Amino acid sequence: MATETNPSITVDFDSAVPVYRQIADEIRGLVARGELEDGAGLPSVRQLGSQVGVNLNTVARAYRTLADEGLVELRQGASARVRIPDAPYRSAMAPDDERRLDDLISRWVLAGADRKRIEELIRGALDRFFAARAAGGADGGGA
Amino acid sequence: MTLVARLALVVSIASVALVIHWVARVSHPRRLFFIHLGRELSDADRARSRRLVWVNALVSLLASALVFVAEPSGKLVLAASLAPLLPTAWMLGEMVGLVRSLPVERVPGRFTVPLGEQPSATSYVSAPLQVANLVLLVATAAAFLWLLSHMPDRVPLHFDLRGHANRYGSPTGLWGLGFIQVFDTLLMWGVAWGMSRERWALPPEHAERYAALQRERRALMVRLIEWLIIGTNLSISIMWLAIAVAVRAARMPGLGLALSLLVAAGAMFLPLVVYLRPLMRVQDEIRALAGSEVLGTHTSGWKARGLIYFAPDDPALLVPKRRGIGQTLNFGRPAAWLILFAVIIGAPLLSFLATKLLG
Repeated sequence: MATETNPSITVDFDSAVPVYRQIADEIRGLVARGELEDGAGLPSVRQLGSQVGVNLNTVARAYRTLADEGLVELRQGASARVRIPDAPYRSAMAPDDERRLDDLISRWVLAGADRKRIEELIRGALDRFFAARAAGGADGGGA
Repeated sequence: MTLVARLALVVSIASVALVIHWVARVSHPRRLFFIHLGRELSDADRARSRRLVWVNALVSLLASALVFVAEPSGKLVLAASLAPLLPTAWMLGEMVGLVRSLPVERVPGRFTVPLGEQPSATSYVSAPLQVANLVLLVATAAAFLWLLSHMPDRVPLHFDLRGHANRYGSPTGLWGLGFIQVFDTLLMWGVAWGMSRERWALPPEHAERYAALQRERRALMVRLIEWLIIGTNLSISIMWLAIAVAVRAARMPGLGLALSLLVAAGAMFLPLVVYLRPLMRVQDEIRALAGSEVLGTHTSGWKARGLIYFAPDDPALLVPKRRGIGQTLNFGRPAAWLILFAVIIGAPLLSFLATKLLG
């Protein structure tokens, strides 16, 4: 049975971000929010490709990206599995994170947001994230 | 030509006319011929509807009169029985013309898909209807088997319009009708399977309500097909047994055939009357929530003003129709052509094979 209460991912074909990256970002988000737990099985590349409406290579590339980060375990002949690493998450401090944040702030500023508005946006995103994480059964933590 | 045969022919002409009338009349401020226009109906649209209503009424009245007044000469009766094809073709022409005049909007590219399993085909079918259909098929086959054991080897199989037998053969050829019922049933299961395979794409802002609407849309669609197929199968069962009983007595099947036609007419009309309106209501809400009736499909795949879906880069085999109800095939996938071929030649092929193998 399916359903909207299951972990779900959102893709946007109109976005400039490649779909494989959107899929990887969404699954990473599900893991971070505790909606996908350690050992949770992921759909096969064929199944997810059919559900999203993309070529299975696109899904395979998303899974490979997550596997390279150490967040997903790819097993020959079996479905991929979420693997939450014991050691600190490898891409926690990815070198381009600061650049991506700066870029995001630049675009908000160009769109007319001032410092107060940007603080609101970030606070809102943090609130949403940790609320979802608390609802997902994971440790709520604190911001 | 007996009175019963004339009446049966008039009933079938009238049932086609009723369906066309029901589609043609204006029954919604923004929809014509069950096609959502995305705007209020104009005077030209209303004139289109009136024209078809009149042509349909006129042709079917003339055809019905012809059935009663004509001498049972083959040609006039044939003309009368083919007459409903004219308003039908007219209606299809109007529908295509209307669709061609409508703008094709972009399909929103943003949607949510659950990672878990989708509802299965069995969650859309009705258990009592499925059991009733299987019981009907088995009971008819058993009754025919019993009749067959009490029949001579050669019986009249075809009659001219005056009721004289003009073809004789083995009665085992009548198994072909049972094979058509089996094919119908497979088609019904195919529709339920197809509805369950549609992409479970939800608008992120209204995911829960939209999911409930999609489940309702799919269940209504499957229920409509279930009733259509069971009605058709009931009609075939009556025809099958009526023919078997009649040829056993070497006479033309009269009342049974008329009854079978009547059931077929009801089977075509009643499910449409009951299920089309709720389906349209659900689809309107789906369109309003998602901004499109085909969320999850690729905008670039919609060709011919949204009439045909051809998207080789989309793994989906079946997608919702952009106009009207139900589904269409993704002709960008080879399997779609195979399915189309199987559906077109399936029933005649099964019937032919049955006659060859059993006859």
